[in-house]
Amino acid sequence: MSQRDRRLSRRAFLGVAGGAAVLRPRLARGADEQRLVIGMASEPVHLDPMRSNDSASQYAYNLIFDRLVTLDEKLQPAPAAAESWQVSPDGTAYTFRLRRGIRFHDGSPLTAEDVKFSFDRILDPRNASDKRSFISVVKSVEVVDPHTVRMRLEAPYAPFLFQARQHILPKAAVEKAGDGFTRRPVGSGPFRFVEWQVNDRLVLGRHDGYWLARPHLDQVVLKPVPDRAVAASNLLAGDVDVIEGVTAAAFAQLQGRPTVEVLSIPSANYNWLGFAQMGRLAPLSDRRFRQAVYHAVDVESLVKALFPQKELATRAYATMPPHWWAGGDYAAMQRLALPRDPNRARQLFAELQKDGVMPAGAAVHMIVNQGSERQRIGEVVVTSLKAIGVPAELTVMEWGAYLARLRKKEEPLLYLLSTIPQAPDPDASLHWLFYSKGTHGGFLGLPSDTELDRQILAARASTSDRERQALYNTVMRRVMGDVYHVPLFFQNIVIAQSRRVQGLKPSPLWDWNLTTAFTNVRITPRA
Amino acid sequence: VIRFVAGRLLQLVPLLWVVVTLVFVPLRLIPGDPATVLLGVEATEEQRAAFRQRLGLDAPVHVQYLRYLGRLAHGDLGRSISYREEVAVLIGRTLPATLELAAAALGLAMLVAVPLGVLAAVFRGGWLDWLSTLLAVTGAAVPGFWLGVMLILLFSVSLGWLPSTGRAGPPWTADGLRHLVLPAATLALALVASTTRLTRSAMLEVLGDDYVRTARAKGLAERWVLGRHALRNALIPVVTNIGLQAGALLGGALLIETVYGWPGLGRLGVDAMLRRDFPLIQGVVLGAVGAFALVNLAVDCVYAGLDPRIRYDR
Repeated sequence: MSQRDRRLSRRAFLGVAGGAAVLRPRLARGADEQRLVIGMASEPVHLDPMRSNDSASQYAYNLIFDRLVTLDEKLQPAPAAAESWQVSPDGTAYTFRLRRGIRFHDGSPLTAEDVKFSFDRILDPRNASDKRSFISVVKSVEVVDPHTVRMRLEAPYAPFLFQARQHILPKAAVEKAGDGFTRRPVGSGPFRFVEWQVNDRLVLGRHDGYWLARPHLDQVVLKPVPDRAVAASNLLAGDVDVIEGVTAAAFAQLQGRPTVEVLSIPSANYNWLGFAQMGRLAPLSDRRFRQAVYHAVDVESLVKALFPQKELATRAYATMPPHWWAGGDYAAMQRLALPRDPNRARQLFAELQKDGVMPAGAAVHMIVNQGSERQRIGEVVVTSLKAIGVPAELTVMEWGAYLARLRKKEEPLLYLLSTIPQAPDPDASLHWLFYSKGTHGGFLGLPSDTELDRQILAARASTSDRERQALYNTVMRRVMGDVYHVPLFFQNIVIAQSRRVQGLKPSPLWDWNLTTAFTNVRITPRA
Repeated sequence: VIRFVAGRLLQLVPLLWVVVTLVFVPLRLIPGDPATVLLGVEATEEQRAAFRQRLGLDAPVHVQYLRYLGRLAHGDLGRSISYREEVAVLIGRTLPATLELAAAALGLAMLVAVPLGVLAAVFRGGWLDWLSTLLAVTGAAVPGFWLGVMLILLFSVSLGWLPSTGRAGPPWTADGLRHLVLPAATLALALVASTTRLTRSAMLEVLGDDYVRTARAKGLAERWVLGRHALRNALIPVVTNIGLQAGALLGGALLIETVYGWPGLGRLGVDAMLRRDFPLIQGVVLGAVGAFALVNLAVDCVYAGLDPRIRYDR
């Protein structure tokens, strides 16, 4: 072999070896490594629970912190940092006895001072916490002894235990870290903060001293993957173990694959078509207009087209799904739904024009924020109106601009929004959505209806479930009968996971239930 | 050369000032401020006002602008509203990832495009020429986002050779390199397309020039004629194109970063925009413009190396 030939073969060898090094099969994780990688739809904004309420942040900080009270599998209040509680006969004082032996990740004990501190900072208006409205009924938080806290309410508030599910932060660590706490949180939950690389990964490690149980997982990695199609591919490639927010397209891609399973659970993620400033501005203030829009749109077909798989969503007839407590007289709500009836819609619009409520030829304006589903719904609504001869315009806006336009309160607009109630209680959605003096009612310009407001307030103050149920049925009949909304659908919580993941079920709220009273997730090593 | 580089760096200052102004003012005018976006629909007017006051967003725009310029003059890019961290720290963490991706894509594109363009010119009308045309048309026509997903499906899902997401470390480590291959290849394709065509046409032009004929006439081997005489001259428009494409590379990196979960400046910028994180948006734009300007400065310096007649310091 000549010198030149030898050189070439050496080069060839290095090339092949280099290529093989790069393209070698994915490195297997350690045989006993318990590392779960979750592909999140977005990046958390804050890890300080007081500062953010977006789903990604909640998913993350719910793993890091304990709550005062939690929910069991049936979504009923259950002990957490508080092992028990007593309610005063008049329903205005709650005394929580704290569990002994809970330690934060820095080793300090969880005490009544920490509970008081955590609630007080949410209640402090200077902190502008968007959770303040959930517990604004709290008048004072008192430390009775190091393991007992008493909260006094301004008035009886039936769903208070649901709203008492606030996270407990270590007072000393928060005061020491200041603004930086949100980037390096210290909690007492099953997983402790390890590192946060912006837009790459949030890494949490096992809290060995977790009071409930030692988590099976050594490490949890929350990885933002904004595009859901890409997330599905990441799951199939084995680079993530679980993904959330599975879309119709991803569902079709993943279903039937042997290595993954798709799990769905109904939630109260309520999506509706609304009428901004319906209490103030014509023609939206006229019930006939809202009925006409409802009659013009084929909601049933719209929902089926958006979500071809029944696991993804179900049509809504009210703001609370039938399977949640006090979902209301759902059969009555279904009867109140208006069927698609273009002739009736045309007739109602003609009446509005004849009565001078709506000038002839005036266009109906609808705004939606970007997002394929919202845009498609907007297009269907506008096309349906045009089909019956009503001029209609759709504007698709970026989220910030969309909110800003709604907040201007200057135009009668059709809009789309959705909400997941913070608690599985009707008050969490009905008070927020329909109480005219509430934040939502205020910025969307609901009619000032004193009777409706009175019923909503009476229902939250009542301690009788039967009475509350009756009041909520009345409220729901009123708002649905008057077409405050066109209810569209409840979007299910859908996750997809590798079959190696064991014990994980989707939660109807923003939780990854990894180590709880009813599960302790583990992952089997790769073959 | 030092005077030239120093002069160009000084020119950056007014450029960055103009950019800052062009970003700062419209940001305050577009609908949706940080209080609206970050506090969401549930916040009261009182909460939003408290939020604005805490961040100094309640001051008139010109006061905010002067305050910002004052801090900027001291090298302070401010603090991110949403991440609660220094903007400089966030950019310091993400810009290297974007530069690494862009540099890898550029290197890969040059490695493929220049030889292919040369061969296409030398064997004009042959199958290599045809292949280069096909690659150029494909590269220009295929959207990077789609290509990214297809490459993931092929190399990660079907073959299991390469990871589909994330950045694992520096590119000189095996794992870092494996994570870099797919995003860099995806980003490189469009650049391969334009560079191949440009190299080919520039080579065709110089191959007909007198000095090439002279080089051949004096008996130089063809590889010396092509490599030292023709290619060196043909590379000048190619290098110019690289400077111009630097912006496109940074812009393209944004999409590619989204597909491959690459933690770069592009994704940070998009998130900042969606959250109306004013200081972070301003910082990201400054970082991107600075990087673009520095790449072009480097390109100008390369000119001098390629063509000794080009001098900047006279």
